[in-house]
Amino acid sequence: MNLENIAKKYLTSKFHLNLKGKVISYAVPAEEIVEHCQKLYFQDHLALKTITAVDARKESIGFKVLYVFGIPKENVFLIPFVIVKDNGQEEFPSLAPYIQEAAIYERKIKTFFGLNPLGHPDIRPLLLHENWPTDKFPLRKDFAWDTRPEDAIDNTYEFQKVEGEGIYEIPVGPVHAGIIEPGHFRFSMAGEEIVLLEAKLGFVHKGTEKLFEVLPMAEKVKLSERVSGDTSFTHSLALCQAMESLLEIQVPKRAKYLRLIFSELERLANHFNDLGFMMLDTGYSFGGSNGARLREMIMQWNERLTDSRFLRGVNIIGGVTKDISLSTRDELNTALSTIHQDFSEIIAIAEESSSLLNRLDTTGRLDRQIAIDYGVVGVPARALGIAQDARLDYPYAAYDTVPCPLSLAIKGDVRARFSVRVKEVHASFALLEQALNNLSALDANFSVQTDLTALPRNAIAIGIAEGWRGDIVYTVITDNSANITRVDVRDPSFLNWNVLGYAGKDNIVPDFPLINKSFNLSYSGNDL
Amino acid sequence: MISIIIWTLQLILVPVLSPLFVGIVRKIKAHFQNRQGAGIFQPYRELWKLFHKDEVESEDASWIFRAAPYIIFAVTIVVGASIPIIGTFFASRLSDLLTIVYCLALGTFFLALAGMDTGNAFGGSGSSREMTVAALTEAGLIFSILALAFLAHSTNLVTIVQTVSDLSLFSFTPIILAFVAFLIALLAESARFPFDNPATHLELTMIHEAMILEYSGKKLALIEWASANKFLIFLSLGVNLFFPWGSAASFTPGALLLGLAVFLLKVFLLSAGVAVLESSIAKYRFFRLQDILFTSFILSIIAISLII
Amino acid sequence: MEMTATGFSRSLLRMLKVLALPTKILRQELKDNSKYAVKKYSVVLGVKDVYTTYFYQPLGVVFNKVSEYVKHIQSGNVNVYVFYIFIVLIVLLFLAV
Repeated sequence: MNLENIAKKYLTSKFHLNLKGKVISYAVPAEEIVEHCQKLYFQDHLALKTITAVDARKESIGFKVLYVFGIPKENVFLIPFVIVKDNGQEEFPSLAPYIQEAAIYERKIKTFFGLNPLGHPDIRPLLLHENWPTDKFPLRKDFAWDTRPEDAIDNTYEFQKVEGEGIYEIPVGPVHAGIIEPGHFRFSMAGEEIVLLEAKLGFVHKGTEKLFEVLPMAEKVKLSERVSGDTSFTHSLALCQAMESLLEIQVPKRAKYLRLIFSELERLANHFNDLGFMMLDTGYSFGGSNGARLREMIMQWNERLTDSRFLRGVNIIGGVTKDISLSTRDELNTALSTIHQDFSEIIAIAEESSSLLNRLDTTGRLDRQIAIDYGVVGVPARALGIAQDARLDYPYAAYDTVPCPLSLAIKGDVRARFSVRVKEVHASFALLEQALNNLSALDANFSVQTDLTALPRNAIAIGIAEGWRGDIVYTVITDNSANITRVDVRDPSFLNWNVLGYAGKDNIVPDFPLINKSFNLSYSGNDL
Repeated sequence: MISIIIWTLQLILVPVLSPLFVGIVRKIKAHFQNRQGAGIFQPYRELWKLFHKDEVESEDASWIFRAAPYIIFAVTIVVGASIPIIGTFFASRLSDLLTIVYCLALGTFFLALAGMDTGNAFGGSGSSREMTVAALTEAGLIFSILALAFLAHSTNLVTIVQTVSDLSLFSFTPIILAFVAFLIALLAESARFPFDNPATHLELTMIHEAMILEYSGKKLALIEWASANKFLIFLSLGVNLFFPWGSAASFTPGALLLGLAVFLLKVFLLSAGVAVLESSIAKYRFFRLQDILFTSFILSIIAISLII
Repeated sequence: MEMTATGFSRSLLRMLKVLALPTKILRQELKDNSKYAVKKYSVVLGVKDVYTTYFYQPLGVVFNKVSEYVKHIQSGNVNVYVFYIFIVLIVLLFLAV
């Protein structure tokens, strides 16, 4: 279905449409945007992928707030946007009372752009802590990337309090006892039971989105690899796909297959790590040490194939930088089948341990309606039976020719997230075998030359890739002078952190590390 | 003269040997995980390192925080000197069942208080969990040894060892039941699986480690040593009360050496059993622990009813 | 941020919940325009009072019923009360013999 037909199906003709690539963008008046988005979300069942804002004041437009809706089977994105005039009172109507997913995006827009969502129920600052002055907005164009404002001294951050006699609060973090990323959790406890859990993040905020506007193009790809260190390849893949869609480049087939292979290798390494750590957090040291061992084997293969354990420096705009030769391919095939066998044996032993299964069952159950309302993506969503996977909904790289099985579970507890990861490992092995076999029939070039100066004007491009945690969405926007004016990064952890509190409620506090590990969200990907 | 030497040996045997058995357990666990692991004498090196470190103490600490390590360590020394280890020759008033159990409980009490003393949130949770587990373990612990006390018609541990080593094979079933009950109490009191993971880094799940989070330097060394002592005390109670063959009954060097060798072998086997158990199961959910502890109590009641 | 007494003992009460019967009442007040944003949380932790509910209250009810019944003797007429005293006197004289 081409873009005009899709536009006719979902939109009335009164909008002035801008069609480019896979994106249909159009301006909507501020009074109608809430109703329009509700129609797209509730009636047409489109997925709200991200809400972002861009500072277009230099072109005398004001600010634009873009709502990115994805149409799954067509692999097309509908982007209505609202123009917020720069008249001292920058406001736009809030979608949060109707669509809960939108709340966290609007909070971020308020903190970073200073645009006030009217009617938002919880407008506390996000990611920037109390020492940041509330009148400085980092993503506006008049804020230089290397400014260091004075520390504010009067701001306070209000945690949600639970009233009641005998309830006490435990603050955990941001410095933890193990080697994990910094994040602060406030537990309100009634004895051992968690009554309320609130997370406060932002300790690894690096100003990535601002840096994207400042760095040259090659550095942009390098920066995207540093957003979330263990998902380097998929992040840079999403950015490269957005740029390739913008420049209208067709990547050669071999590059697409190589991208699939490296993406699945990254998924394997991280799932082994996760499964090992989940078992270790229950005290089951056999599973823990073997998970680490399997991960190390994959990392060593990563290094052998690309000189980088985390597959960094592999993606470029137009293809990949490293190839897999025929002999390496055969060795990789044998190694992968050995690892697969190894993994199956370990999981068979682990699933016979009743003490381990007792720890994993019914712990950290997430309610399905809460997950749908908050727009949970990735492994936690699939563990509730919500069938979404960007490899199937918005096929990219070689996923349109190599079909990817969907791994689902039902209960939504730690055991379900464990079994979704196990199923995804098995699916990855099947995908890798098929992709490696198809590799020999393709011709040898794995990248195309690109002219990075030939960017279109006033264009929006979306790059989406399924990282091992969930789907990653990059929105690249160019301005009137064909420069990239905004790169918006939406890591899956940004959505999933909001439901950790709900998954933790009514559990006991010794189970919390297990619940946290079963989600295994990225602090750095959330904080950018 | 000889009795002074033997008595000194008895006094220092528990503190000297206890880090070795902790090291043995860790080594066996490492082998189960396909690792080499540190050497079996590593706990000695760790204690030496801690004794040479500076201490940092919170401003809010009271005298309980400062006194608790000494009390805890002293208790384990006293108890270690009064239980039958190599032989059954030092029968004293301290070798009584209830005295031993409540001396150790004194140590636990002060440890729990020290955990709460500085107002640390994790210490408070650790103390709460420790007290809960200790309250429920006490029943299983006392009643399992009480089963033997009914056999020996005395609660004096030395008398129990002498009586049980003379028994015929028919009365062995209640002893095995009581041993299983005692084993559960051993795991609970020494903070081992399935109650607590001694090697964890997750402060939200810790029981014993959470209470000692604020300690450093020499006081930490004393507490770690006391915890190793407690483990060895429970191991020796387990092997000497329930399987007492081979313990020395007289002062002859031959009997003493045989007693020491048999003791070391039995304790090694039991600690290897604990290590294998730790490597093969996951830690239990906290609110399932009362089921195991009640089972321990019920098994001891069954053992007692078989004996009476 | 410190451990409270309720929290300290809660684990033991929960482990022995057959005997101790701990109760927890959780209330949350939502903000007006949202399904999820909470204005106020409150929790009341307690222990079910077994003796009052199952022993003293039924006992009280029984006593009240019996008293209702016995109230019929209290007619307010002094002569009836003198008659009761006379009856008791006769009965006691019979028993003393």
